[in-house]
Formats: sequence, C-alpha cells, structure tokens
Amino acid sequence: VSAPAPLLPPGFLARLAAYEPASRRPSGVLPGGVHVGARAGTGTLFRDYRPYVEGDDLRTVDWNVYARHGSLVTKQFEAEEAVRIVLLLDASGSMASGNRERLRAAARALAVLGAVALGRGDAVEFLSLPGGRRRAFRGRAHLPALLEAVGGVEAGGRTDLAAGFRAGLAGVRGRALAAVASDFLDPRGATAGVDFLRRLGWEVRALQPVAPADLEPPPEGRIVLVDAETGEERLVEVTAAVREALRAGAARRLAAVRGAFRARGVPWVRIPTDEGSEGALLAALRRGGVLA
Amino acid sequence: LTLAHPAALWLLALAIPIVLFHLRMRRKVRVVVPSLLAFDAAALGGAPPRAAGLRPRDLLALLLECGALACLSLAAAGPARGGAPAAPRALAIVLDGSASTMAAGRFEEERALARRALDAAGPDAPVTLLLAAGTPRVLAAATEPRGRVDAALAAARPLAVGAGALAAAADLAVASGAEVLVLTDGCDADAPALARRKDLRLVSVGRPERNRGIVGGAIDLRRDGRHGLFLRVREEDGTVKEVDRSDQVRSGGGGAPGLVKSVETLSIRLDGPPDALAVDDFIEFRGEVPSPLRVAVVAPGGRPEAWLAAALEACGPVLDPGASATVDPSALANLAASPDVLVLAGAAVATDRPCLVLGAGAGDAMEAPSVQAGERLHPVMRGVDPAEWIVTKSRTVEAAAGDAVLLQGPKGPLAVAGKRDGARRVVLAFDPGQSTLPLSGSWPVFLRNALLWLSGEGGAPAAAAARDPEKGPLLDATESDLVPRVPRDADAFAPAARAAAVSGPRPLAPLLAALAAAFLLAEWTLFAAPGAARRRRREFLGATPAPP
Repeated sequence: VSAPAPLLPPGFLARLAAYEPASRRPSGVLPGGVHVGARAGTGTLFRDYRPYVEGDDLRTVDWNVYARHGSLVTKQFEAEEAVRIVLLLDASGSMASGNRERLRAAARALAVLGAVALGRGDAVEFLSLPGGRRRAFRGRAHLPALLEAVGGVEAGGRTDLAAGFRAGLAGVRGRALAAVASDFLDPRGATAGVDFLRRLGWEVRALQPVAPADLEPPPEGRIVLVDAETGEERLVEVTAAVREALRAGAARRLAAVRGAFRARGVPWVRIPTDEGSEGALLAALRRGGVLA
Repeated sequence: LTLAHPAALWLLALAIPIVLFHLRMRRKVRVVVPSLLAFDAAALGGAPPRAAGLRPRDLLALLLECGALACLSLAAAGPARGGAPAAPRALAIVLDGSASTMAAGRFEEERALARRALDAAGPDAPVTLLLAAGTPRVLAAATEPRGRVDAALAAARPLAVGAGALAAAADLAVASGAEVLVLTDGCDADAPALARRKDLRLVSVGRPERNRGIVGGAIDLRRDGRHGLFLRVREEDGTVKEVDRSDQVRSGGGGAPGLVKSVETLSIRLDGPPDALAVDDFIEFRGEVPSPLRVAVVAPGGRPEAWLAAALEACGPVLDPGASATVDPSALANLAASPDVLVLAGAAVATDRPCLVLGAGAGDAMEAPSVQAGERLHPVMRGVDPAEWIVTKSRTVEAAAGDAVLLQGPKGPLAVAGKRDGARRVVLAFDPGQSTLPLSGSWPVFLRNALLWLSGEGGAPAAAAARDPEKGPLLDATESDLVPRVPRDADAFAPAARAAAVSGPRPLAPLLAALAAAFLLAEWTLFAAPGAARRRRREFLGATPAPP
C-alpha cells in the first residue's frame, strides 16, 4: 500500500513566504505578528513624532532633535499585531463522494492559507465539520502539526454548517478571519454557515472545491442516484435531454452560489481539485482575495 | 421441417422471466452523488427526471436475448429440414485397410468416422462395410443386422499389405447402388481419382508422416558359410537404397562371432529411431543353410588317387567327411546313404545323380594339348586360372546343346558342364593324374566349385522369403510413402452434417445454435463488454458506482 501523497509538497512551502493573508480589517486581537495596526504601538516601525509628555519612556526621546532644536520629542512606533485566522473545513459525506478529490482540494487550500498565516506569525485555528475539535496553532514550528490535522480529516456525516459552527466555535470571543472550505451543499442553504460567521463580526472567505464531475451529469440510462450523505435513493431516467438539463443546472447552481456570497461581500474562490495544481491554487487564492 | 424433440420448445417459457427481468431489474446503474439537491427541480430549472418504461436501447437487448432463447429452444428440439426419408437409404462404407493406415492412428480415425456415419444413417439403414486391404473384403453385407455391422467395424484391422484395392472396393460399393463413403489415409495411388468422383464421398484422414521402410531383400545361404543378405530400404526422401547386412547373417544375427550354421527364421530390423510405420521396419527370412555335401568317390578298387583325396580334404566344410565315401563301382548300389554328388574317377557308372566325371574324353586324341579357359563366368570356373595347367594327353568331350564349355583344347572341348538326364554333370576329358592339375592351386578350387555347382548352388541368389503369409508380404515403396495424395478433410467432416448429407434430412441445430451465440455476442458487445461499460462510466467521472 503506497503512502498518501503529502498535502503540500515541500518545495511548495518555500514559495508561500511571499504571500500573506489578505485582510481588509487586520484585527489586533493578539500581540506580535507583522500586521501593522490602526493605532501606534510598541513595534519597530517608526510612525511619527509627538511632544514629550511626562511619563514617556526616555528611550523613545529623540536626543538628536533635542540637540538641534532644544525641544523634547518622543518617537512613536507602529503597533505590530497578529491576525487570528480560523480555518473551517466541511468534511461531510458529500465532500468525500467520488474519489475524495473535493475534500483533499479543500484541505489543500486551507493548508496553504494556514501555512502562510503561521509563517507571518498569525494565530491559526482549525475546525472540521461535523463533529471536529477546534485546535490552535502558532508559529512556524506548528506547521507540520497543522498540515497533519488538516490532511488527516476523515469525512462523513451530513452537512449543516451553521449548526457545526455554532457547536465548534462556542466560547470563542473576538474577531477573526475565517476561511470556510465546503461544497456548500447545505440543506439550510449555501450561505447559512457563512451568515452565522458574519453575525459574529468575522471576516469570511468562501472556498468551494469544484470537481469536473460536479458539472458532468450521470450517464444515460436508468440510474439510481444515491445521496452520499443520507443514502436516499432516487430512480431517474437520464436521457440526452436530461443530461443537458443537468449540465446547465449544475452551472446555474454554481453561479447562484457565487452570486449569493458576493452579494454578502464574501470573497468566493473556486478551488481546483486536480492533484499537482498548487500554482493554480495560489493564483485562485490571490485572485479571490484570500492571499495577498 | 421436422422436430426430433418437440418437448424442448417448452424452453421458450424462459422468455417470461427474461422479460420481467428487463422490465424490472435491467440495467439500473447505481451512482453515488454528493447530494440529491443538484437534481431537484429548483436546481434544474424544470421537472426532475423520472424513471420511464423500457427504452429502445433496453428493448433491443430484450429482443436479442429472446432471439437467442428462441434459437436455442428450437435447436434443442432437433429440427431437420427435408423431412424424414421414406425409406432409409443404403450406405456403403469403404475402409482403407492397407498397411499405411497402421501409421499414427489413421485406421482408428477411419473407424471413428465410420461409426459417426453409421449413427447418422439411422438404425434401419442397410450398411455394407468393406475393407480395402490387398483385395476388397466385405466385412459386413447390407443384409446383416446393424449389430453385426458394428461388430465387424470394431473387429476390422488394417493388414500389412500394399495399396491398390481401394478403387476396386469403391467400384464394388458404387455398384451396389448405395451412398458410398470412402475413408482413406490418402496414400493410395487411386485416392486423387476417387476424390474427384461424384458418385462417392471420399474423406481423407491422413497427415504427412516421415517413414523409412524395408521394401525388399535377398538372402543367399551357402554351404561354406559365406551367406549374403541385402535389404532394399526406402528412405524418408523417397529414394530406395540397397543395404548390405551380410555381416548380420554371418555372425548369427546377434553379433556373436562365427558363421550361421543353420537358419530357419531370421528377423532383421531396420536400424534407426522408430518412425510412423512399424510394420515395414523389419523383415523375416525363412530358410535353411544347406548341409555339407555327401560325396561318393567311385574309383576302381575303392581307392582314389592321393591327389584326389587331398583335393577333397581341401574343400573344407563344403563336404561332410563322415557321410562321404569311397567305393568301388560295383559297391555303389550298396551305399547306406544316397550321396549328393558322385565323383567318377576312372570308373564308368551309369547314374542319374549329379556327378563329376574325370578322364572321360572319348573324342580325338591329343598330345600335350594347350588348355584354354572357356566360359570364365561359369560358377565352376570362379577363381580358377587354367593357363598354367599342362596336360600330357587327352581326348575331347562332346558338348551337348546347353552345355557350357569350361576348358577348350585345340580339337575340341576338354571340360564341359551341363545336364544329362536331368542331372547336372561336369565332365573333364583328361585324367588329372596325367596333368599338372594336382600341383596347381586352382585344382581344389575347381573341384570345390564343381561339387557345389553339381549340388545345385551357384545360380542366382535365392529370392528373399520375406515375411510369412500370415504377416503379409513386404510393402512396396509406394506403401511406405506416408504422404497423402489428397488433402486431409476429416476435420471438416462434421459428423452430423456430413452423415446427414449421406443419408437423411439435414439437421438445423448447429445453425440455430450459432445464431443464438451470435445474438448473445451482439448483446454482450453492445451492452456488457468492458469497453462499453468503461465508456459509460468515463462519462461521469465523479460518480462512483455503488456495489449492487
């Protein structure tokens, strides 16, 4: 039995140093990191001068200015903050149907985002649905553990993203950047889970793996369709006309999902499912506003 | 159209479960999809697809299967076209039983084909069974019950005889007015002509085989042990060579030293590895080495000259010393055992036995006549050189018609060989005691040659006795040739169809069975072949067919 291929090839990880998570509202919820906050802080990047007031740290006084002008001014620095990034992986049965290509593509996309975040000193949390346990990672040393956690998820169960988020994120406070990787085949609606996260005030990214089979209808004939999650069966007569309708319906549904997310201001990225398409994945994440 | 087993048509009832199977169960492919949401009306923008009835594609499969079932059922019913004959037609089967059919199971194949023809002809058809082996032999007449025909067929054996009777047997069978089936290995010279005849059906069972065989031989058994044995061998390439195997008969056939003293039956086997035909690999000679001559020397007083006695001793094993005698002319009639040859040395005796007469010249007298050789090739003169002989005086002898003049003098013959009163006789005109013959080395040779010739030897070598009549005569070179002259067609002799062609209606079962197989193959190719299944599955990459 051959060992499973690594989620991200080793050479590929070096390429991620040039990227950073794209966040419109860097959230200084955690100290450290490399994100420049909205207020002055104790970072190393020079921000501005201000008149000295009693109580300022004498180490911040610019003595050169004092020698030249005879007035005391204090140097202000940027606040360097870390972003909390929550990776949310839909591991329901529908993601694993076929040859698990959707689940693996989703995990790969989240792993890329997580690896970039850890490389930037951000805090990363990972939660798989349904029934997964939330785990936190920080620093480059946690990258192998993160890859193992993301790549080792076993799929199963039904899709209910909102309920899963509610249970898995209970007790979480503060804001965060959330990336949801799912096929969004949610009986409550494709945006049900994302809406829950937005209500938390989080910045959300929607990553949807789309396999070629998702756009290709079943072959002609008397077909018994079996739902991968519920096991429900439906006998259909697939003809050439039905196949055409199914093909058009699949494209229409994909466009509808994308439109729904964009209407909510949530960046939506179509994730390629082909193995060895890391370059295309990076391009898609950049194009979709997930990485910068 | 007649049906041998009409009850088999009940097999058509199997069409009912087949139709039900198609209506209910056929070709429902289970496909696992991520979610049925994609197949809802809302997702499709219209009514979701529902299962319909039998589609044309499935209808075609159903028709193919029902067609195959119908053909198989009809084939099992044993249909035959042309109807049953009013009366069974007579059948004559000619089996080629020549020696070449002993090779490589050829005759057994003929027997098997004959059995199939008998079975197809029906139990009431009169059958004549002939065996072409040397001469046409009727093994079973048409009037005999089938049981005897079967027994005769089972007991039929090829004979170690040459070919040549096949055409005669076929003519005999055709003359009977029956349908004629000639089964042969194709090695008979008449096979090509028989294959072209329209009034009979010739089936060849032979395949080319490599063979060496003894096609002739000769043995010469002599009193002095210098036996000769020569074989004529047909090689694999068809050439016939003569092989000298005299050493085998001289050493007793088993390699033991010494000469063969007496031979009754001598088996000679062809050297080399075994080949396709064993019957021509050996030859038997029957004969007996002649016993040593009993010679009676008739001389006055019963005392021959010393030079004569010495020369007789020098003849060696040709003479039987114990049975030879020296007698006075008056005591010749009293001899206990009749001698083979008489030597009349100066004695005139009237006898009807072979005899060598010395000093019997009665013609013109000659003083010191020159002696010249007469017929040098005569057996008596073999190894004899008379040029050194000096004769002091002699008379001529009369040479009768048919006599061979052995020695010629100036005035006439000095020695002749011929027949007198039905017995061989060698007459020497002069007394050897009045010549230098006793001093010559040719004298004992001349005497020995004369005695052997007088005893009957010295003619052409005896013909080979070959095998005894029970085992048949020797095969000729043609019969040892195992390359058929007509192409083999026994494999194409489909038992039922060919036999039916000989007599009775033509069965349709094989045709229907083939048609059924074609139907099933067409359905498998269209719907169930691995390529077709792969093609359908490839159209839907993401869907995994669920286990049934």
